[in-house]
Formats: sequence, C-alpha cells, structure tokens
Amino acid sequence: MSPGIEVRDLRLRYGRTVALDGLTFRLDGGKVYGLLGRNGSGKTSLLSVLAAFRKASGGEVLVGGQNPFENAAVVRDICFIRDRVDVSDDERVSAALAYARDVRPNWDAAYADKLVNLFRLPLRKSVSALARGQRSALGITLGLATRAPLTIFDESYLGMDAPSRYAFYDELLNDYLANPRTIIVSTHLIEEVGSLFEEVVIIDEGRLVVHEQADGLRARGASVTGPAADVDRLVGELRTGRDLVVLGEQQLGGTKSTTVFGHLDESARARVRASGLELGPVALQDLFVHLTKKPENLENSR
Amino acid sequence: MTTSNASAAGKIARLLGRGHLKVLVGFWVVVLVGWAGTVATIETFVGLKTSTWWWFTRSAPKYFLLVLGILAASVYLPRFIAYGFTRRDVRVGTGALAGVLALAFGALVLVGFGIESVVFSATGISDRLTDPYPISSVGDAVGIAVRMILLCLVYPCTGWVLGAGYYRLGVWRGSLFLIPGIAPVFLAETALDAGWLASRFALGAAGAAAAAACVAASAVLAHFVTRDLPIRSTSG
Repeated sequence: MSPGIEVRDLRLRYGRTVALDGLTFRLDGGKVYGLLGRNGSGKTSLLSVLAAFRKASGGEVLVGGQNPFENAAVVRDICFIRDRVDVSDDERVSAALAYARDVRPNWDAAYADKLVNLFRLPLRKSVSALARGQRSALGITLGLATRAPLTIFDESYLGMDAPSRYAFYDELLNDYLANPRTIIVSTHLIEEVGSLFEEVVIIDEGRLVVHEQADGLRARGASVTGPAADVDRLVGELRTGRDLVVLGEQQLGGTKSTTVFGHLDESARARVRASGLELGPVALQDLFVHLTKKPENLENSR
Repeated sequence: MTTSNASAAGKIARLLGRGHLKVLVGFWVVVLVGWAGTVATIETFVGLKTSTWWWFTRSAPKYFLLVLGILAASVYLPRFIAYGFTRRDVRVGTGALAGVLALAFGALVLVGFGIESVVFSATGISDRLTDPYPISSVGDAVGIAVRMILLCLVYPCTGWVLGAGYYRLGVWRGSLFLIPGIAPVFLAETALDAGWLASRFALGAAGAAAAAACVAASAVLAHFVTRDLPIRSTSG
C-alpha cells in the first residue's frame, strides 16, 4: 500500500510563530517526493504533522484518506526519520535495530543487515559513541528496513560522507523500485538527490510555493543569456501574453542572464534561438533558490 | 477521532516490562540485601525493636515507580510515537504495566513481611520487639497491601504527569505544573496515612477510597497532559 496524502488549509502555530499558514496540496502516493524549503520554511513542521508527531492547529491532513493523529491504523504505517535518529543514546546499535524489529510490522531484518554492512555500522557500539554520520546511517537503515508504506526522511543524511550519501540514494531508489511505497525526502542537497524526485513540493514561510512533477518543474525554468539589451528586450516581448515570471537576473559586463519561469512554448524557444541568444536549462536547485527568493511568485501555481 | 488497539498497548507493556526486568529484579535484590544487612547489623549492635522490612518498603517502591513514570512520559513515550504507536496506546500500555507492578510490589511487600516474621520468630527477635509488628492479622495484611498498591499506582501516574509536564512545557512552566501534578500524591498519602503526616489522618476504608480517587485523578491528568503531546523536534 502506498498511501496518498491530502493537505487542506493546514495551519500550525508555535505560540505566536506561524509555522504553516494555509498549506494545501495533494500527493497521490506511490512516488518519491522531494520536499524543499529554506531553513525555517516549515518543512519539519509539515512532516511532523503528517507523521502525527504534532497536532495541526487548523486545517486537515489525510494520509490514506484518514487523519493520522492518534490513529493507530495509520501511524503504524508511517516511518519518520528525523535529522537526529529517535533511538536511546545509551543503547547499542544492535539493540536499536532489535527494537525496530520488535515493533515494526514490515521490518526486513535481512535488508537491515545488508545496510549495516553497507554503512559499516558497528553493532556493538552504543549510539552515543557513534560519529554524526554513523548516527545518520543508523537512521537511514531504520527508515529503509522498516518498509513503511509512508516513509519520510527529513535531512536524514547529516554528517554522512559523500560515498555514504550516494549509497543511501542508490539504496533508496533500488528499494523503492523493489518495494513501491510513498517516500518523502526533505533535503537541502537538491543537486545530489534531485534526480530521485518524481514530484517536488516547495514551501516557504509555511506556504506552498510550487507543487509540480520534477521534470515539469525543470522544463518550466529557462535561462536566456546574451547581450543585456537584447535579453531585456526579448524577455519583455516573451512575457507579453504569457504567464512568464522573471525569477532572477545576473549580469557580468555587457552579458546578462535572466532566469524565467513559466510555460515557454516552442515558438517562444525558436524566437530566442533565432535572435542569437542562448536558451539554457535551469537546475532544480537554481529554480528552488529563485522561487524561494520571490515568495510572492507562483504561489499555488499548480 | 482516536483509535487504538489492545495488541499495541499490550506490546508496549511487554516491551517496557522486558526492558526493565533487570532493573526491577536489581531493585528488589538491593531491598532484600539491604534489609538483611540492616537486620544483622542492628541486631548485633543494638537489638531490633521494630520491623525493618517496613523501613525498606514503605517508601522505596513508590519512589522507584515515580521515576519509572517520569521516564515513561519523557523518554519512552516520544520514542514509541516515533515507532508508530499512538499516545493512547502508550498511556494504556504503560498504565497496564503500572497496574501489574503495583500488584506485584504489593505482593512482594507481604512476602517480605512473611519472611521477616519467620526470621524474627526463629531468632527470638519477635519477643523483644517494643513496637507492635505491622502485620498481626489478615486485616493488617490487606490494609498494607491496599496501601502499597494504591501508592504504587498514584506515584507512577504522578511521575508520568510530571515527566510529560516538563517535556511539554519546559523547565520553568513545567515546574509550575508540579503543583497540580503532585496534588494527587499528597492527597493519597494523606488519606492513607502512609508516612508524610504520621497518624493524624487514619481514614481506613474511606482513606482507601479517597486514595483510589486520587489515582483516578492522576490518571485523568496524565491523559490530558499527553493526549495531544507534541513530539519535540530534534537537532544536532
């Protein structure tokens, strides 16, 4: 089972601080979703509500069609791996894995053993004696081997070295293909993990900035580069009659690069090329930077 | 809507019980060894005048369970939730374990009195006691067992309330929560004449009923303080 998620007008407050402010989106489930946002944008708050770690202040969250908060049938199928793994510091790694084996209905012990070897986790060491990256690797091992229908990783790779992070990405993809489920990955390392995402949700200041298919989002971004005057003139013309937003501009001497976001049809692309300007793709990370720099743009664009 | 299931609560009770089995056994071994050592020492140098078992068991078990209650709310509850249980499952499971432990502790205290009275009789100490032995009839035994069981229920409930209060509200506001938090313990102790106020409020059956009400009040507080407890964010 790969539960879908429906979020309607979700609000969460911590005292006077508004963490989530009327968030609305729908995930069909059975995909790998990327949740992106700047520090303090509300990512962890959103995930905490999805995983029933927190009760929403308002609005509604449905996981598999049901409110997850205090719902035994739903929460047992959710695994939320946070930036600091939820284990006892004074227990051994082997005990932490045994605990998960005892309480998680879909726990795959053989796969956990494989991940322990892959990440070179010392089973006899206590969690407090692990390096930061090893703790993260333990969290990832717990998250993957739990095989929860809804698996959430929130900055779970902190402190892991590059080989371990790439091993995680490979395992995430392979295990997802072998055991399809709904996976949400919240990350700042967008370039590293972005290729795994089938859909991307970007939030900022507790509000939805964009929810798109990852490929569709990439296709909606483009950079127009060339002589500054030509770029300004052409971008201005392209925006006429089109839902095209300028996300950012960079200029070096007389050369300018303007990042635009929106539906750039084939005639527009041909026009850019015909005018001798360069039309380039925009990396997901760059789109993210631009989109969250301009929060007034593209809200609820889907 | 809150949903729960008995098997999840039972699993929590079993996991907590299994996880604390060594500590529980260790606690009673320490009590037993401490009692035996104290009996031998006092009898050798001064001569016993009263029941030593009562010294060891009138307070230590309830404080032990108070600590377990604090740990259950502030350490185990967040972890259980992180592993797919509901707050209600954890409350029910922990409550079930507290009930089993209260019954077991009540029984162990009675067994201890039995052992002590056999030892005292065999060694002639019974004849030299100046204070009346705490148990001289079935009624005394029932009274002590009921006191022990009620206190061993209200203390872990209070521990849960205090642990959850500090976890939820932080140090300063959590400290303010001490006042309503410990009220059931204070009232139960008073009603049962179990030590704090000597023999000024010996209420008998009425006291037991009042203490049972305190247990219920503490359980209700435990429910309210954790029914929507947010699990803290982690960092570092």
